[in-house]
Amino acid sequence: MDKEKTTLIDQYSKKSGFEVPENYFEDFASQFEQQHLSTTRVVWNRWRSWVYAAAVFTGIFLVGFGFVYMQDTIEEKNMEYLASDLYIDTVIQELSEEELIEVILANNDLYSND
Amino acid sequence: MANYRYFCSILNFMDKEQLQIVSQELQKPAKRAKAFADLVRLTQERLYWHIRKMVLDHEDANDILQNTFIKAWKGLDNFRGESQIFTWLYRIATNESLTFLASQRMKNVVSSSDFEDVLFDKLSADSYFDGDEAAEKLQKAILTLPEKQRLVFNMKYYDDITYEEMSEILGTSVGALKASYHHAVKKIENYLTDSD
Repeated sequence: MDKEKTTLIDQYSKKSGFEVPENYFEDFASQFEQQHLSTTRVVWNRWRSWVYAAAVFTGIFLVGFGFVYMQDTIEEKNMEYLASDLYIDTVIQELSEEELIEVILANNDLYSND
Repeated sequence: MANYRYFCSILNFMDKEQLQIVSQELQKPAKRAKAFADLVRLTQERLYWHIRKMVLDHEDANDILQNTFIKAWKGLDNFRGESQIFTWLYRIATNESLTFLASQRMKNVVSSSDFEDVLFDKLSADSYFDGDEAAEKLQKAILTLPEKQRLVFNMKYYDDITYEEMSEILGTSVGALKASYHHAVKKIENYLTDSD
């Protein structure tokens, strides 16, 4: 091989004793091709960052939309409740007897023809 | 099991012309994936053995080989063709191997045993190592060398790489490489003499 190699190292075979599993190289090449170089994979890798960005944008939009929608719904429910008989009953229950008479008299005034 | 002897015999058939064709195909976006698959087939064995002789364990060598090709595939745009594609891959494989060994050394820093002993124990336990006593002894002697010197020794002794090619791969001058190989041989000789 070369002049530098000494007699002592010459006594040792270049057979290092390293081995690989049967068909290792055939399998390695085809697995690598499948995992990293298939057309779908290549296209996916090219568009991956855009798909991720789109997913994040959609997520933010949906959260924002959900928040606004929930606010509107809560407000609507509140309005419905305020207009309902249940609300009026609750208010009446909380009033003292004097206050109740006052409200009735006031309503009578309101509806009187005078 | 395929072994190292098989690898040596196929080295002669490694066609530079084929690599040249693959390098040209890699420049064409439509043919890039197919050309890279051909490149993997053409170079995997040589790169594998280069890595294996540095890290010794088959599973580790397999992981590093994968990383080498993944890095090359992702960084293909950085390959401008000034150097041969094989030299470029060899450089990536070398860097990956050295990085792996450095990280393993860091992990073993707390351990009381020498990192080289850990590597040798791993080799002895590897089911894909079937070396006789002499092969084990030579591996142990090679492990006494500093990593860069081990790299130079392996490339010259096992792979018959010329100093000029080695210089391109490792970015070291031919003179320094010759000196490094000379020192490596002396150290191995001393180790083998002492252990007899």
